[in-house]
Amino acid sequence: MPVRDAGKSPWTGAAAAVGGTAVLVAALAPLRGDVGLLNVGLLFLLLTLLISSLWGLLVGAFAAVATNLALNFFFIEPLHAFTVRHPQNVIGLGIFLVVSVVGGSLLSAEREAAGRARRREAETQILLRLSRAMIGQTDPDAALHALCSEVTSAFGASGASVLSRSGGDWRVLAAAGDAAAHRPVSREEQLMAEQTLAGGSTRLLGDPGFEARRRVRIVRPRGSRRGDAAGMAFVPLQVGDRVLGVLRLDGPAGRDTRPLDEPVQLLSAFAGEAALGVQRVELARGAAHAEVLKQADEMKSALMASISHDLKTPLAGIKTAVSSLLDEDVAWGAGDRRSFLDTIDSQADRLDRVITDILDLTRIESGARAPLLTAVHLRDLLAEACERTSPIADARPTSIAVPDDLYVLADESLLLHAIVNLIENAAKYSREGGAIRLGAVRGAEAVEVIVEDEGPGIDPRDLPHIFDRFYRGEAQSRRVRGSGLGLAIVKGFVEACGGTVRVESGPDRTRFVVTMPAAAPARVVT
Amino acid sequence: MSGARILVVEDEAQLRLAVTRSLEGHGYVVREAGDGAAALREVESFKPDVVLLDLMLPDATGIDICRQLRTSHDTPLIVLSVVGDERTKIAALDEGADDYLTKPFAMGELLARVRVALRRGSTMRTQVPVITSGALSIDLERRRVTIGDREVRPTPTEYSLLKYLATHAGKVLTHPMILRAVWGEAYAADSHLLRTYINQLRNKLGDEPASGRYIRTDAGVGYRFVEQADGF
Repeated sequence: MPVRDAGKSPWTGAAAAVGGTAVLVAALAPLRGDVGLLNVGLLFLLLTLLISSLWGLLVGAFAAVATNLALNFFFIEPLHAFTVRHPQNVIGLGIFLVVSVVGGSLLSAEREAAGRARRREAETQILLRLSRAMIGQTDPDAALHALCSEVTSAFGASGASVLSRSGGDWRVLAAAGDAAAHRPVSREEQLMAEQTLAGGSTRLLGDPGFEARRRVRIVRPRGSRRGDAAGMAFVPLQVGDRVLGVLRLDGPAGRDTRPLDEPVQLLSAFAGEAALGVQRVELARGAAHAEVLKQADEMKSALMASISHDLKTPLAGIKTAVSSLLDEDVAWGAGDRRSFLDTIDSQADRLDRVITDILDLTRIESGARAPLLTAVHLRDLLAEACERTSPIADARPTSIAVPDDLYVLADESLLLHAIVNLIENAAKYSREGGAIRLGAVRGAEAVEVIVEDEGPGIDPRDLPHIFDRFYRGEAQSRRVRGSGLGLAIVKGFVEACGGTVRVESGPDRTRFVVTMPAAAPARVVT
Repeated sequence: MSGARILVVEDEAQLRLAVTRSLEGHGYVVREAGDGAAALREVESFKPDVVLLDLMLPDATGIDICRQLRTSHDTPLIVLSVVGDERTKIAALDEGADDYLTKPFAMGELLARVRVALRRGSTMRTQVPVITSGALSIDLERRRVTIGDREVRPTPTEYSLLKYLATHAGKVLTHPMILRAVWGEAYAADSHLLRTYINQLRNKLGDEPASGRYIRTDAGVGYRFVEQADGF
């Protein structure tokens, strides 16, 4: 800590000079003839230099004069008088005085420089600690709290708080230190805070005990005396024109702290650093918020692109077929007419499926459709799912390996839809002609329903996202068309039924596991 | 132009089938391709007069196909796209596609575009010194532009612009394409400059932006020179 030793007041220094001189006189006067005047003078010079180095130039000069007088009085003829008999002694005393003053001043300058460097270093340390404490913060409130606790420990204060004005009222945004730091802002404090912001510089109320003697106007509350309860400091927190608030620093209750040399300057530097830190956190927050908004926007445009593609593609087939049929320039044969009508029929079904998917997902997500949980016979459900997916999965060997007595607690239509989507997914994305296997594993309280294909597996980069809405794997999106909703629907529906779904994928197989609560046959839960 | 060969590149089987049937009903000879590789193969063996190209293919984007086709062929290309694919659509036009159609479309519209594309294909093969569209006539040898008997006097830049549009009649030209061709690479992004010149040119031709008798605006995409015989 940058300290000035409180015990080294100039009076102590003067006393030490007088005392030291007295001791030297007492010790050397009886030996005057034996020691020699030159040696006595050197000893006195040593004392002067010591005093200078410890108490500074002024006290050193005093010591030089004191030792000079003592030398003259006790050791130079005529003794016990301030007169000097031999002219060379006059010159000697003069030289002694000059040497001790110059030597003392050199020493004291050295000492001051060293002290300044120490203080500088300590201040830098304080600011560095503050920076470190604030740099990791992502939340503005946490950053303010870190500021309060740093300033409390750095200045030996009993507490610190950040005050902010909203409307006409001041309130405490963050505080650290003792309980009093959290106290509401009093009338007097509000006034001080206002003045602090108006003046833009640190103000002290009472003597905060930071030894702020220089550069500071001390405003003593009316009726208070020196030595009363510790005072306060108010420091503006602002970056450029932007005012973040006022730092209220409570002085230490006792005066046993180590006061800083230039606490106000340091406080201001501290506050500047802190304000920057808080602003940085706020900016980071704003940037994060903007990023979230941007992602939401990207999500929306992905949704729009996906929906428009999924809706428009079947519509394009229908429109082409219908407009062809309406074309009177061509006399369509029965086969052509049939083909156009088939297109219309199948594309209308497809359109219906897409719209149903979107509506279902929206309903489940908005909570508009509550699941109806019943005991569902698993093998029947899987068999029906296979039947529904036969147009897509026909070319693939499909097997169901499920015990006949397995029931799960689920909403039958939601679970069916989820399984259908998983089978469709397997049929669309696994290697051509590969088998699709449906199975189930009975656990103590849950049943794992498994839909497995024969690869090529899912890119590990895509795995964490495949249940996201509108996420389509980089490779898949080229190979196969889809809405990117299928697996999101699986997840939404399974979770709505109280189950979970996970995926395991390797180069030769992808396995979706739906875990549902086991149920006793025909148990109905409402 | 019955008997012309059309290649339909579309991975949605039902849509491809309907388009093919309809085109065949109108007397065209049609081949189908379900992906990009098949499309490139068919272009070599079938030598179509027009290619209808879906922008989203299982193995490549329509843009890739445009680029590969254009390295060795100048077969007219009509891109089929869905709303939301605007950027891809413009990229495809920049890569040399001639026209685009947004799904869903009526067959009548597709047939009209096919006719324009076929005509463009034939004019490309025979270098005509005079381009006409209704009353407008552009004599490329004498650099003379007339509407009926009246002579129009475009500035040299306006003339270059008109000539570029007219020699690519029927083809949608994107802003960057026109800017590059008429002003040079440095101006490729200056859509405002292009808009200004198009307006001046339209004024001199007595053209309305809304109806676009000679120069039609494809909002957000580009411009095309209309040969008035085809009536759209």
